[in-house]
Amino acid sequence: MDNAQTVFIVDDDEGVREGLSLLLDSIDQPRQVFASALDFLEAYDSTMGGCLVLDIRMPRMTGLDLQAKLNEQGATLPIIFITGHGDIPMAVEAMRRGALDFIRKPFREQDLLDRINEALDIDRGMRRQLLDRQRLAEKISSLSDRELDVFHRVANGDMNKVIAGELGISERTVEVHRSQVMKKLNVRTLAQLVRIKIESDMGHRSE
Amino acid sequence: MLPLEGNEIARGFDLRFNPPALAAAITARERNRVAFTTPLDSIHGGKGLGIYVPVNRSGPDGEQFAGLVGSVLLIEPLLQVILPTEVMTEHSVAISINGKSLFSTDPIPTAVDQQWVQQRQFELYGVNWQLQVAPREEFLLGTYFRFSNAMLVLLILLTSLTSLAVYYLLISRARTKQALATARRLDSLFSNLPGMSYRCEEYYPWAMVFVSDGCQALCGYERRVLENKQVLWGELIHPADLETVQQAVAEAVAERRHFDVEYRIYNRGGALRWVWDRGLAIASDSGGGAILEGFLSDITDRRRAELSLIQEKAYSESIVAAAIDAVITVGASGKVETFNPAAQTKFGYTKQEMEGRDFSQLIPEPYKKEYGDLVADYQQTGELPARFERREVSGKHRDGSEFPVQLSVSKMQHQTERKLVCLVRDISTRVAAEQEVRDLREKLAHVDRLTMLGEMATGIAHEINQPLTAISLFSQAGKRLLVAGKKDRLSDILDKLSEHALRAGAIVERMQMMTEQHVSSFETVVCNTLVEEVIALAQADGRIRGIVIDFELADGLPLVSVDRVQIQQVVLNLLRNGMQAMQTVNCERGDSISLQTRLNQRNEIEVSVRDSGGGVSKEAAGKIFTPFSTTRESGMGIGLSISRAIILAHGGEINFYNNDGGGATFYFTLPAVVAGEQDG
Repeated sequence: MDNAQTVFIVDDDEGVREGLSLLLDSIDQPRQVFASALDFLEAYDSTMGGCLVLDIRMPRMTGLDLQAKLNEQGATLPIIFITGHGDIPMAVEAMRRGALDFIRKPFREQDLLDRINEALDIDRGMRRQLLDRQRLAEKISSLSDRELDVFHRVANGDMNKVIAGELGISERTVEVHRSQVMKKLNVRTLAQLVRIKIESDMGHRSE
Repeated sequence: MLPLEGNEIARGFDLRFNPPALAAAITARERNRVAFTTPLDSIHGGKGLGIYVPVNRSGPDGEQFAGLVGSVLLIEPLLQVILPTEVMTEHSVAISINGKSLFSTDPIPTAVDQQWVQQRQFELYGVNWQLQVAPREEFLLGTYFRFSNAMLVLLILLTSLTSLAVYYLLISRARTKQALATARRLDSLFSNLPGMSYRCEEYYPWAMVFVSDGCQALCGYERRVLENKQVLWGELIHPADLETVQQAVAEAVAERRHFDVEYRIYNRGGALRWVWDRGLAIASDSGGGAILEGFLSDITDRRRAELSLIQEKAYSESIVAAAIDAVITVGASGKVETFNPAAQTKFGYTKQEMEGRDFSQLIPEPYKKEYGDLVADYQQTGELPARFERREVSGKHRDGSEFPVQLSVSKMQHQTERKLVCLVRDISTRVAAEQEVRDLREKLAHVDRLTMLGEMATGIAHEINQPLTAISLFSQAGKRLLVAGKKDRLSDILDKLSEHALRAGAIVERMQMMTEQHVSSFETVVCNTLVEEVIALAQADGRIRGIVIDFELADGLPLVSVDRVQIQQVVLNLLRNGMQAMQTVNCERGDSISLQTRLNQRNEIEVSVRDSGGGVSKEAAGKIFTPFSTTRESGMGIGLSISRAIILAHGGEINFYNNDGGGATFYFTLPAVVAGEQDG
């Protein structure tokens, strides 16, 4: 997945596009350039990993507009905005909406590269996390309904006796389900189980 | 042969029955040439020549003999008048025709040696003339020169004399007829003259002794009323003129000359008449002192005409003198003839200095020659080209300074002379006011440009930042490639560097041009180039607003003569106004504004800006080109009014209309430069 990371560049200025391309070429960083936000939207799908270097001020569809669209689509692509000197209010708005950073033109190439690397790291991390969550979800989905009930209640800190009473089953049966859950989720302690529960809840909320 | 007209008996000669005369007349008729008779004797003694000239009249069969004109030439008195005295006193002269003596002073003295007797013969009009000249006394021959001189004079005289006689004959006949006719005319003229001759006493009241018939016409009184002293002449004279008359008469009498005086009299009807009185004091027949004799004529009509002429002249002269404009009349040779007070004030020359000097010295270069030629051309052709009728040129003051004038030249046909009247109006004040307006407009336009650029600062900074960013990226990427040893793309990168540096420079230059307070200067340019130069700035502004500018520039447009910066300012103004209008409706009708150049139906260049904003409301429409009438929160609201002033100064017009599909279109026109005017 690391290999597939691409830096997407969206800028309406040809000079800036060419300059950025050349810079990324010089460090052998794969990149794709787009002259407008619409062009990018057309070509992009959320499986593409990498980061977005986005000009904040463009005709037709601005960088902010594009950011909003990506947020709607749930895309996690980290965005580095390129701004001019009068664009601070727009940059602040972009940050509020979850942009990774903004960088003012003209800039030192190392600053940009640092941010790009950072963005790629984040993207990488997010994608790994996503993968972990997916695995976890798969594990959780392997539980039977009764096991799932028991899992939630155990993770919630309920006593076996209380669980047996609520579910209308014997305490012994609760014990069996509980060990089955621990086995399927590949945990040994209650603390580990609780953590999986929290992670899975976060995953739900963020998706 | 009877005379054709009148009694042709010359004094002392009777040609009618004289055989030599008849012979000459027949010769003249038959040979159709001038014929002389042989010398004839006058009944009073003395000799003469008869001359006959045939007269032909043209008739249906060509020239036909109509008669003879005859005359007699008396030789002796003629010779005595015309021959030099010394010839006559020192020489004896004899002239004969066909052997017959015509004239001789005295017999040739025999005492003189025959060698000194000079004889000449020549033939004239078919007659043989002999001429003999001899000195009276031998001792006078000491001067041979004088003698031959006498001979020569005689010869010439005689030859021309006879020819002259013939000529004179013809002329005198014509003259006689003419004189008779003139005399007849004069008679009727005198009888019709409004006047009277008079004789009166020497002193006031000049009682009339005699008056002619004209008196009734002159003063309304009958002769006898005046002659009986019922009315005294002096009492008729206007009291104001009396002293003048008395003085004139007294002076003339004292100096024994004619008096000549004009004065007014009251006629019988009480009307005032002007008379001209010319007379002389003469001794009285009765010996009792002098009396006056003279002639009075009525000159009332003449005086009236003179007076009205004088008045008219005074009237027009007073107008010319009081005129604010300089009035100069120029004569045939281009010399100034009159120079009114306004002209003196304006040009600094006095009337005396200027009169008789060349008009063109008042006109400086480059018009001087044209106006110099104008006078000469007008003299030749009588035509005055229309362009001189009213024209703005310069005048040249005596001190060499020049001032703007409106010069109107018109023709003045003065009998046979062609003159020109020049009306010179000083338009310094107007020109200065116009200049002031122009200066103010330029200053205001400059302020507007500064304001506009101030408002566009973000866009411009952004526009400059783009190439700077590119430059920075290219150079840093280049450095990395260089370090990595990948030199193949470096050449490309260097090209890109310079390209983007120039791009940034161009924007700065454009901005600088717009901010400079320049002196208005017109140049002939391609309209599209003008628009293209302003595109970068407009686009910078559009970028900030998120608006795209579409250009639609027609090919092959005629050239325009404009102040480049000012027209670009107008284009920028219209684009920015349109974009602002679009922003006020949040670009809901689209985010593009279009700029179009084209040739309209009147062959003018039209530049239009079509926006998709809210359009112009009815309330705003009336005052949209008025200064400080902005509907926006920012800006002074002078953009459109300045634009209008600029376009009007270029001879174009600026206006707008609301589009069918929303938004407004603002447009302006510029007159195309006509071929041939391009250098002007």
